[in-house]
Amino acid sequence: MLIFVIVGTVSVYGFRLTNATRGDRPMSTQTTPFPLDPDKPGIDAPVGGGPQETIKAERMPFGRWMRLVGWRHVVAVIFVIWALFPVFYVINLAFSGGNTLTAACPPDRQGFAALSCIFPTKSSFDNFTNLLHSDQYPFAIWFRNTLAIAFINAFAALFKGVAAAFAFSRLRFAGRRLGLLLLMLGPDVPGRPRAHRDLRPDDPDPKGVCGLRHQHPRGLSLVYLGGALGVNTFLTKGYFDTIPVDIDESARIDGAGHARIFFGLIMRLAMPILIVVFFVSFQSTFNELPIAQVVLPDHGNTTLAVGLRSLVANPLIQQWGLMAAGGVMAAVPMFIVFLLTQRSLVTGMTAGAVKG
Amino acid sequence: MTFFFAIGTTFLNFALGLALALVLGDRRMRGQGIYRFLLIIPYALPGILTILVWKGMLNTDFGLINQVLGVNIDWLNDPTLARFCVLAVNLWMGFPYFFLVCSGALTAVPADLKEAAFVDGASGAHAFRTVILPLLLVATAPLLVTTFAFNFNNYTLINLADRRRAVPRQPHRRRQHRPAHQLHPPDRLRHR
Repeated sequence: MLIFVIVGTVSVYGFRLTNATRGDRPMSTQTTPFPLDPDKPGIDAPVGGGPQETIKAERMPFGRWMRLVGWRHVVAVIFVIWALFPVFYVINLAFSGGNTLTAACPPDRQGFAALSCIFPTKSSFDNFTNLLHSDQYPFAIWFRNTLAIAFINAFAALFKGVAAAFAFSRLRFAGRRLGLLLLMLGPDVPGRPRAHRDLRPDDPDPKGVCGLRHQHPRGLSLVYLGGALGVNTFLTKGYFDTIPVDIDESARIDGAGHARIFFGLIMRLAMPILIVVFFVSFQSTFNELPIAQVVLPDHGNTTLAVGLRSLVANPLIQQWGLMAAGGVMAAVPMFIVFLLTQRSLVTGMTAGAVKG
Repeated sequence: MTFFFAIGTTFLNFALGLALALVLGDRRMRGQGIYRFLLIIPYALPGILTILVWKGMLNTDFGLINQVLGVNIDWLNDPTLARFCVLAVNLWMGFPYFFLVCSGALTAVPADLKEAAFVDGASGAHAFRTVILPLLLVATAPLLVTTFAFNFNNYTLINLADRRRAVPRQPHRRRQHRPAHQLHPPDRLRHR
């Protein structure tokens, strides 16, 4: 509901936000060579008046404002609508109480009338309760599996990638360049064949490896641990290279060993890229479908991705309402993680890439 | 096909993200924070959810897209249309990432370089092409490669357009046994 309020405010006030209010400056504002800022007194302000006249800037005429700034708002609002209408649609579908696509949008609405389907009409929790009480689709188990695997994998990938990056960035050893190259090539192996090759879930060997035989989520997280090393290491190494080696050396003179330098200095200085690696690993594990489909094909005990897909995979029994409800619930932890990491994402991504 | 899809989708996502970053990066614009937050929401949602939602919206009989357009197009079963849809959906999912990255990288371009270009008489477009874009590409090239590799393997997305038969194909029905000399040659081959 909060989102609706925000969007409504933006779409209505999008044009008026500009000159009327002086919000705080977003962080990306960079000085441009031509400071034509209408609110700033100084260059354009009339010179020679009293002190109060120099403070008050003249209001820009609408045509000029439109040409300079306004069209940007128009573009932004169009793209915001484009970016958000599927989100509204799924929220509407989840709360519609029906299990079919027509529940969100009755077929008698055609053309522009159908556009109103993205606004919620009902607030029924039937889909949520049905899904949570369903015996056939144990949503709680999917949720638990996915969260556990995603968190474990994100932390493990973080530690793994950072350790490898530290070695590649700070130590000099034979095969360093070749190792980096191979790391970059690693993730290019498509996931599904890789899963089949590594696991062979239909292997008749009764012992199996670490529960893979029994299609246990533990096995899936083990598989994930094998992948996604390359990109993380590469990004992190790029970031580490921007941290001066002098810091290491001075610490070493003060008596610090490798472990001390690694945990005490580098990992703290490189926090933005660590957050990026964490988020990217979390997200990719959360959304991973092909390998999960191979390892945990049974929807009694699987991940959210496989489970949600199984709700609508059969063309004869497509439970769109349940899927939407489950998706909305699944989006919550992901969104929280995103909000927590959002600040550092931009800085980390670009800074790590600069020297990559 | 995979190659063209990966190249095309990476390019499209990058182009749109960069364009939006340029448009919204103007310092005279108010409300940038709100726009940025709203535009990156597709990136913050689980991809599996959004893919399935798009699949629902592109549904032939009950999908939102067909209802709004007032047509009855089978979006995901026609090969050309399905390719177009996959690109469009991936654009929807992927542009916020490049929007984030590009707006971050644009602020990292030193202001004095831009200033120098303008002082030397470069127009806006010229300065962008010769000064800003190369610096930006240096910063984002690894991410472009990564995106390319990711989309090369983007099984989850292509699942959008998988053609699952509404009625599973019947197993080949065994013909009644006939003596071999009554069969046509192709049938004989099939029976072997």
